[in-house]
Amino acid sequence: MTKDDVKQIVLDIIAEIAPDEDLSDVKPDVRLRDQLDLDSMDFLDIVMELRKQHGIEVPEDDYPQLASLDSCANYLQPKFEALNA
Amino acid sequence: MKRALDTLEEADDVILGAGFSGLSAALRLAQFGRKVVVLEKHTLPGGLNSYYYRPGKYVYDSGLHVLTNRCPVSRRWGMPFVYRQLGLSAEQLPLHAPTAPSLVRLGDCSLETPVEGEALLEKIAADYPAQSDGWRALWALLRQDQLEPALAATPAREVLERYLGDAQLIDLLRLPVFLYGGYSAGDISFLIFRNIFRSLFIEGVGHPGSIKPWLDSLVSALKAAGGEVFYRAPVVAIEHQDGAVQAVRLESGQRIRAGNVVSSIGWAETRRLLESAPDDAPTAQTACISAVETTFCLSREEAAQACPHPMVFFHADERFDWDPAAHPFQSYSISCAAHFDFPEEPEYCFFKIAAYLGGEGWLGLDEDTYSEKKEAARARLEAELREKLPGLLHIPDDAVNETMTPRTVHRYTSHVDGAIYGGADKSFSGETRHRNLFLVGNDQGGIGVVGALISGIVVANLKILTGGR
Repeated sequence: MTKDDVKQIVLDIIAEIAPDEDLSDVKPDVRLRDQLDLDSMDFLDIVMELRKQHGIEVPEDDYPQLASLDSCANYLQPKFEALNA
Repeated sequence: MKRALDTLEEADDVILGAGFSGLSAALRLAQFGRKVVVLEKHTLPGGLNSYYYRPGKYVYDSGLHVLTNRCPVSRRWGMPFVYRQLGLSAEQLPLHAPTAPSLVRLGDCSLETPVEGEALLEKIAADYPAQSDGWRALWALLRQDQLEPALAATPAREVLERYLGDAQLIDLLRLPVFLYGGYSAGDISFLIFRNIFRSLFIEGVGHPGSIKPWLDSLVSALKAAGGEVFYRAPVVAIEHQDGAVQAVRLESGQRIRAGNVVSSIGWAETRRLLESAPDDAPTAQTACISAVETTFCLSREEAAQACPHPMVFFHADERFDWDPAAHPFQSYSISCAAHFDFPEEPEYCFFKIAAYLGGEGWLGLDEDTYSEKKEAARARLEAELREKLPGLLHIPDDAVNETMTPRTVHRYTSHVDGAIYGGADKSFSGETRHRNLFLVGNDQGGIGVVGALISGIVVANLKILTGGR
């Protein structure tokens, strides 16, 4: 799984949570909160969907790792790899 | 018989009470893989909004008049928020639309509130042309997701008076909100006013048919997520040290260690458990708002004849002052399930009449005295409404009916003096002086079934799942 695949997974989840948001031009290196209308509850939903849809556990201490698409990809890619190994 | 509870030694999160707020917090926490246990004193879930059986296979709803938040305004509020956060669907938590307007009646002055929120906006703008601009601005404010903290804490009347110059209109708007959630005499915060007004009139009332499927959906989702609910499991003490709670103790003496305790039983009631004080120990709480209510079990046709509106909010005086303990039998809430668009024709419909009063003096009576007091209240409720709303209501003489009193509310909820909206003292943050003890439900500001569900989710999210960050 590539980092771009991981980013797409995260974007797909955001599209479910916030259907009104325009996700066509999300900058990967900018905090998601700074470019989309997402609050802390929405981030919990992202964590929840990763768990439900993909079996990925994100412990509470690691929530800050989900700040931007790039940081999501860096943090989640090894987890997806470990799962598929 | 041994049950799984007997061998339970610890849980990540112990939830006190299986009402809507407790079940909602529990479900949210369990979905994140936490070990969650709900301890309920009663034999059924639901708290105030529970159900019970009567001969003839009738399932009575104990607290339900109507539900709210039928038409979503935003994904961050009301049912879209509840559905998404709890992973449930509109099929699991159904809401059916009314087929007729509701009625707000203050003395002889009436306001029909249309089924659709926008229609109410336009109706009041047309009926009160001099107030039209202020009313539209107020409506926009009531519709917002976020409120400035200072405005949220401002007394509701003060905010209404900034926008409206017509005392009668202000009272007509306050009346249904206070009847539906006026937790203390006098005034309530604008935050709670906004929450209730938006739920009742902007998003609109709805009916689930029966409350039981809602509770069944929550409990089965909780079990599927690995959470557990134990009934007949009254907690008698919360053990704590150095500002943190450590365990709860059951009536049986059993001790369950807890990472967090989430209490839906009320602020004053939770304090008693911290002090290991008995159930009837006095509290510093001011007079509670409670009610007597008679539920008539009727055919749909009979119910439609008894009342032409899904809801009637009635205050007998020309001016609306909210102090049911000082002025009992002055405010009334009436609901009629005949006027909802159910997908299947219901076998029976409930017509409910309720009068607000203080809850003091209803507990600790011997059975004969209680029966007399209950009968007197039931008779007065009917007599006053027959006299004050002739032509509008047709209260049946000989239909199957059940009467609920503050004592009944106390039995279902354990709230001091049968308070239906909790105490006057709230913790809107859900925090307490103990760092891992949180409040949900009425005393966190969660009013009504949907308010309780939101309360459980928000406290679970902000105080436990994100550790307050």
